[in-house]
Amino acid sequence: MSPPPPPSLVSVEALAFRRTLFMLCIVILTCSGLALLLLSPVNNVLFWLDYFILPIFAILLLQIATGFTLAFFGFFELLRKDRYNIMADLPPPDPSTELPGTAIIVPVYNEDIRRVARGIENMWLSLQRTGHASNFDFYILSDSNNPDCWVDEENTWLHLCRHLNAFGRIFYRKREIPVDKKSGNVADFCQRWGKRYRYMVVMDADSVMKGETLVRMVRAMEAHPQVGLIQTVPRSVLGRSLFRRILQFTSSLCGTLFSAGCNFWQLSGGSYWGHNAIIRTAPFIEHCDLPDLPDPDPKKRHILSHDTVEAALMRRAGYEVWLAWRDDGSYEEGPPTFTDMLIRDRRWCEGNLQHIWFLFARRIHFASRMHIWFGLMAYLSSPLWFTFLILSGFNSYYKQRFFMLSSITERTLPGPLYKPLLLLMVLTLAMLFIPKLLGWLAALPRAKQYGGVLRLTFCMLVEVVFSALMAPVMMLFHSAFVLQCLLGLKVNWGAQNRTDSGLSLLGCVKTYWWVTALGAVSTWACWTLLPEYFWWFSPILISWLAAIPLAWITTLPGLSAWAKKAGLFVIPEEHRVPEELQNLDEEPPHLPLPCPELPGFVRAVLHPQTHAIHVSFLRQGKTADLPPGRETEERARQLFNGGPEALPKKDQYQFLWDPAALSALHEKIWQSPQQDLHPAWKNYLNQLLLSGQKS
Amino acid sequence: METLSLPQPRSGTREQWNEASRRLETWLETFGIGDEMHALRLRTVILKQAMERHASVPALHPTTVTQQEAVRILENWFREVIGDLGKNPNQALSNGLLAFFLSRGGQHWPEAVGMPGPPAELREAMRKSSLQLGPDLQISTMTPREIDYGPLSSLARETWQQWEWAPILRALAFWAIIYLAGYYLLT
Repeated sequence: MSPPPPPSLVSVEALAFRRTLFMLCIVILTCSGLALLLLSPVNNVLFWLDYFILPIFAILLLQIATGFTLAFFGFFELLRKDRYNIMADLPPPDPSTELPGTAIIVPVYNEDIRRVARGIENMWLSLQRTGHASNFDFYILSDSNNPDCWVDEENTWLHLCRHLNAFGRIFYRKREIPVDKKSGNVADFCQRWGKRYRYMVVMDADSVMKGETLVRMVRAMEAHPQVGLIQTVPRSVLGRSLFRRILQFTSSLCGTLFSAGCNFWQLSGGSYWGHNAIIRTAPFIEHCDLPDLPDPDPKKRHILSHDTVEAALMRRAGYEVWLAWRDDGSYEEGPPTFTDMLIRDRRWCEGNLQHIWFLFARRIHFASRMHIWFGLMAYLSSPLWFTFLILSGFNSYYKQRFFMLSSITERTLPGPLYKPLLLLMVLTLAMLFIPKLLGWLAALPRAKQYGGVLRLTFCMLVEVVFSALMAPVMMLFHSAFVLQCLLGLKVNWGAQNRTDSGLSLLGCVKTYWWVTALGAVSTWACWTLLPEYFWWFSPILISWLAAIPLAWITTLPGLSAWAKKAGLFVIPEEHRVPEELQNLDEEPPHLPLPCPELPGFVRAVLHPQTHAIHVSFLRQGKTADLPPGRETEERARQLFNGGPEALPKKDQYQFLWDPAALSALHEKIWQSPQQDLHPAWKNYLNQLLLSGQKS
Repeated sequence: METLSLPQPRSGTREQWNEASRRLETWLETFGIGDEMHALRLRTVILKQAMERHASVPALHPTTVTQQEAVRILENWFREVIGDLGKNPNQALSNGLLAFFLSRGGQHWPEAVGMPGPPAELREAMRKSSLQLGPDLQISTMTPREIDYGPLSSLARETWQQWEWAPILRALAFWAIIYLAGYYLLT
């Protein structure tokens, strides 16, 4: 058992004051909105539907008020020197004392490993510049089940180590049985090597951090032994598609604002976002192994979205969790298209909904419960909003009929009585758009880095329109996701697409047709049945109708390139590109893949060097190969007779685990005369020859 | 020059030996030997030995014999350079190849590949090269701490285990029908 952590950095009074102030603001704003709604003469007569609508409206308003309050306090935090900045006022570095050992772990799952390797290389070089590189080791932790990705990972890792002379400092681990996905992968690292390191920095496949930031994080952890985890705020960078560029612009403008707002109320009770964070290894091993969920269905007991829960468990163990919102030097890449963002949201939705079990769990800190609540509401608010819209539509229809039957129309209502509704609308719009305005104001002193004041302002306005168009479409998808999760429909945690290759129009039609269809039906229904309210509903209807072009246009390579050339949606990281981000999206010539036109699996079978690397990996520490099983022999026979395509990827992957069978197939193909070879193998051998001659 | 001259094959057809030669060329290409002349010389040495051996096993295709000879010659060479190639008998060639790749043998000592008496620098470079996937293990155990999920968990458990859903659904359906019927009859 590790000793209990020393007392907190923040006094109980300061915590209580900030949280009370924060909550009070949210409650006042929500109550004001509700009061305005109830004061409206339209609600002098409450229909039965109103009793459903009002509580939903209250929850939605609470959500909007929370966002506004976060941005509001965040803005003021930006303007002043924060007393509670975990990375500030660190003792001066002592050259005589070495930093403790820190592992930088990069879990990967069917990723573009060459991009991952580029990131690691940049961090490695950045750490060299700090003079503390010897205190950091890197681990690529692979759970890839795509045979081609696996083989590429081995090759790239080897070339990277050879290029940087980093054998014994950059390691590669491939799990044979990838239980419990990413959290299981991290736990596997902890169980094998966690004891070697006082800290570990968890990265995502697309994460990059400055060496200087990494060193500062370690020093902050050393200075504050009561801290178990420091989460950085990764800046979204390297966007090429217009969609991603707009997202990274928004994140640059408003991300810091919201992070600062989060830090205002949470302080030592922060959350963990799963990557770009430093963790104290010993308490993590001791307290943060994920428990099973109490779900009656045994298949649903594994926690998918582990980060928030791990932060809650760290807090429960008495360690603090902080957000280092002021420090830059932490980067990630966002989803390149609207569709990719929705795919990611589908995964996150299920993970976040699972957290409901922890909402009422005992001995969970208040701040952790709040994080769980925010995470839940990030998705539950969509079906609530959708229900609210439908019920409001029906309610308006009934009320319209009622007014007509009563021989009055809403237009004939006296002006002053109608005022509360207008005020409510102003209040809601203000809460929605003032955070953007505050983000713009905060960015003004650095306007040059955003391409100048004019461009900054123009892009901010375009972003407002873009997010207004995107939100109703996301509401529909999120509602569908929540429904799917509640019905127990399966989610595949596939690899994330991080390339900016764009979307085809047909693909967009296939994904968004139902949104547009719903938009068309709703427009007709609204125009026919609710002409009085048509313009009120029009922003949502326009968004639904424009879903297909919106998704498609924002990934058009030409438009994206034009926007970049015109200096639109520029972020400071593009104005002056940090060394750590340079060349990340370019082909690394020093990390060559032998005969890259061949799939990884084919190379592992055919290419002698790749084959040798792969079987050497498998044979590490083993004195003899196990004889191939009957199933593997059958796979080898199928492969030889039918070429690599004779086996599905899943079986190719299984086959790659058997060094004896793989070596036997390798030998057999090389030793067989042309006449005995399947045309696919002949073709691949020719390609090998051509590739060798070219190089 | 004697090693470069190829005798007329005593067994197998010319097409078969051409095919074997092409296959060997492909195989050696993947080694990245930086000296084309030496690659050609190595190919000739291997082919020559394969031809000699093929005479004793004419039933085998020359491609098969040539590749077997190539592996044998290279394996012996790796053994000469590195010495111990591991306890696993299947490991010899792959270990040798890996060491060759890691030490950039094909680029730095291209003329030495497959030839007797490899230079001391090459020996040292290949012997020093090693593959370390991870450091020594320091095993820890991670066990989930007990957690009381509170009232929600009890409620869910009781709901799923103790409630009978069928009568509830039947009752709901019954009252829904009554309500709808009443609504349409009365309005």
